[in-house]
Amino acid sequence: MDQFEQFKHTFFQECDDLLSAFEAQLSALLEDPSEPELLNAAFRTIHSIKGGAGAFGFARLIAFTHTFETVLDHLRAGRISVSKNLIDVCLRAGDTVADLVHAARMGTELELHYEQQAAEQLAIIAGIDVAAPVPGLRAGSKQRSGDADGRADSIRHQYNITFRPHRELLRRANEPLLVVRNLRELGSLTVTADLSNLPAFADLVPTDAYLSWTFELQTSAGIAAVKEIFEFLEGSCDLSIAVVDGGSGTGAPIAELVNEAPDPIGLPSATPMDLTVTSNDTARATDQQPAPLHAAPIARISTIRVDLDRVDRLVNLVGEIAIAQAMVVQQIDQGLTQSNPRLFQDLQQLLQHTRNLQDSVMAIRAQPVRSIFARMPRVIRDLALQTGKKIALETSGESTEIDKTIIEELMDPLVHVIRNSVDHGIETAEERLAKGKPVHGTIRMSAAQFGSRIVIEVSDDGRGIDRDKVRQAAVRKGLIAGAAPLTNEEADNLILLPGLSTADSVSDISGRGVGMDVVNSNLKKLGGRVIVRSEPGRGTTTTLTLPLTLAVLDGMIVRSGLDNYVLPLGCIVECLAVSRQQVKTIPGRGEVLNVRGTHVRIVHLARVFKIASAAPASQLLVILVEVEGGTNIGLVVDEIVGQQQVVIKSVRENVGQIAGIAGATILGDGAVALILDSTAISELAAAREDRLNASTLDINLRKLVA
Amino acid sequence: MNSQAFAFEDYGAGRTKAATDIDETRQYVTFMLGEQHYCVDIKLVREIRAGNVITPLPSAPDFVRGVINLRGTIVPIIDLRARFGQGRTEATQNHVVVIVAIGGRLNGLLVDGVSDILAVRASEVAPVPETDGDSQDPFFDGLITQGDSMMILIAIERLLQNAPIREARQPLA
Repeated sequence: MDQFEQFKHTFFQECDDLLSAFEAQLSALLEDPSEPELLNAAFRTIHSIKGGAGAFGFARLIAFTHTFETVLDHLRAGRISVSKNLIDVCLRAGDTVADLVHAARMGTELELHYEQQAAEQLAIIAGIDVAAPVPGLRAGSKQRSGDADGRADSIRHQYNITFRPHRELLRRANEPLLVVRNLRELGSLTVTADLSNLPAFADLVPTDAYLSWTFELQTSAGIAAVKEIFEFLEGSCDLSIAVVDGGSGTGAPIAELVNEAPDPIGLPSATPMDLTVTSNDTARATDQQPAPLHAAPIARISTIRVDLDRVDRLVNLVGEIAIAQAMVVQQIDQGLTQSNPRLFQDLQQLLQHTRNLQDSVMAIRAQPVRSIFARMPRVIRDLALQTGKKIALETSGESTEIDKTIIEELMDPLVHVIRNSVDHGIETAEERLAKGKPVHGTIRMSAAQFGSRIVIEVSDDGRGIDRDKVRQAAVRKGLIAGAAPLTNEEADNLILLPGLSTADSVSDISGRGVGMDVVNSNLKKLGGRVIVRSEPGRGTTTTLTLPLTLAVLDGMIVRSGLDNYVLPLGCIVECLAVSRQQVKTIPGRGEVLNVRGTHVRIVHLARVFKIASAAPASQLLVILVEVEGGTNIGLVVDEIVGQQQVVIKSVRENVGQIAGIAGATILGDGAVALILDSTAISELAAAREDRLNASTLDINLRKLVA
Repeated sequence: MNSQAFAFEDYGAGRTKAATDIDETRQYVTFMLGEQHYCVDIKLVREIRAGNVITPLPSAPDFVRGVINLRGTIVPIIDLRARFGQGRTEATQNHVVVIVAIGGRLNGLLVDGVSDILAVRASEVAPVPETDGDSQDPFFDGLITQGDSMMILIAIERLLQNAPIREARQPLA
């Protein structure tokens, strides 16, 4: 299935979700007409469906949802009010939308005037003219030209439109071809493509938009309808719409004109099918009927929704099978396989299958972060509109996979972080110019796997955090003592403290909803953390790190005291055996080891966990591990037992969060081994030293770091 | 692994409403801690396991002995003796773990040995008398007298609620 089909499929699924909530929203609205959120939600539902339908060219769905949306918009604006009758009509219209969605999904066409009655009822309620020139309303009828001819006596305008897409227009999932099509729906259209910006073929970047167009449109539609076509392109193109009234095209034979319209040749992202459609009448007829080329059998990928609980149980069971198998193999390995080579073979096959099974089960839960990243351009666009700032978004690492539950929980925190960046970070265009920065502020989002953690970074090139202001606010709120000495990093991270909303401290623009403390607490709930770094005048970087709870992990089994622990292989730099004399003590700062010129902080696992170490006196086994922020620490353990792939089990569910522990696993002998979190251990050790040094740092800040 | 497991029929997690007004017969699993008998509602008990390998948890309170592997689920083990402030249980092969399910969370209670399953009418459960020493003990729900012996009914929910490992584990808060 190509990507387009995939999007389509997602759209249909989303429609199902939206429509199922829609009825409830309407019913609730009848109970409580004063609740604006219900109405907004209902409006968004229809608006989203219309938007999606527009992207896929489901003409009848667009037309109908447009009428529907108008009614809801009137309702929102208070031009009409909620009544029993109105809700009834809306509910029926909702059913019609569902039917249209279903038809589009199955690739079938409903009978000709199927939605007419519902549309008329909506129109009566809204007091609008159903024949008003809304885009695509006529699309349901058989012949576009005939229909347009029928209204040839209405007033016609001529619009001269220049449309110059910005380079990145295509990358923002916009499609100029749709504009051409939509314009043509309005009336007769002459298109002139400007190829002058087209580079030599070798220099052509396929994802860049090079072409621009001039349209001469003769239509009875108002300017609003024309503007609406470009609605989603705002900010991605230069657009001018000039009205030349008293146009000469009244009653012109539209069909001919359409055919004369030059093909928008070389549309960068047009698929071959799209190209034939623009130039061929019969092909266009099929274009009217949604997706006849992708016939019904493939129109629907069958998916089921499964309780995450069930998946978890499956994951657990598969993990258990792997463990049980390891135990069986251990028993059999004692000589049996030599006398029976066939057994060895079969066992290998079983191992292979189990591993595949494990991978498949894990894949059920893992999803690329693309699904949330893809929703951010929209967020940025809205925020840019609200604040009047110019913002570009760059993303990378979208294919990084995280557990589905985490993805779902990540959406809100990410939106908050981005909102924060836009609200408080990025300056206005004038301010940026004055500072010699590019007019467009840039927000970069990246995701990457880092050992056993996923790191998502959101950085902006704005003004950075005003540490003094934040600090003052924190002192004012009694969150830190006035004299508390803070490093820059600690000062930046003050914005994560509850009660210190950035809105009332950093800027006058009120942050909507919740502050960064909620981001912080949400991340903590997921077993993750938030780190804020800022460079005054240069920008702020917010780093969200998350565990890969359900992933399989390559780990090194180490022993400290009597117990085995698992150290994620991803964070291990090297293992060293050093004599105790090589470890030097800095009074008040703990121990360090010189590793090829760099002094590495030494952390004794046994001391951090307060267990009795059985290490020999003369030699130390030091494992150099990477902690967040890129530094290394030397973790001292008693023994390196081996290396093994382990299944990460969550301990939070039954046991709760344990400092220094990322999770647990079950070893081949059935015993539980704890998985170490190197960063948390490093912090624990630091805190322990601080306690020994009777730190002056305020307790609130400590809580934050812990 | 040499653990034996006796699984009880699954009566479903969560505790049903106490039927105080109807004199209903309820079943309790009884076990020993030293010389004293204790019991818990059988509906909360999932299984009883012996011969567990307990992995200790770092920086846990003394009554949390560690975690075990219960068919792939990590389950914390509470040392009931330590929880009642009577010192640490020296676990041997004879000690068993009673797995209880409260609100979807599993916990294991380390006890000296399971003795019996007891059917008792609701009217036979007497309230815990207020004594001078300890004020209201939140851990106990009542007393059951059977012949000469007295059994203490443990209020598992409160016991575990009052022992949130979560909080006890925050090292710096």
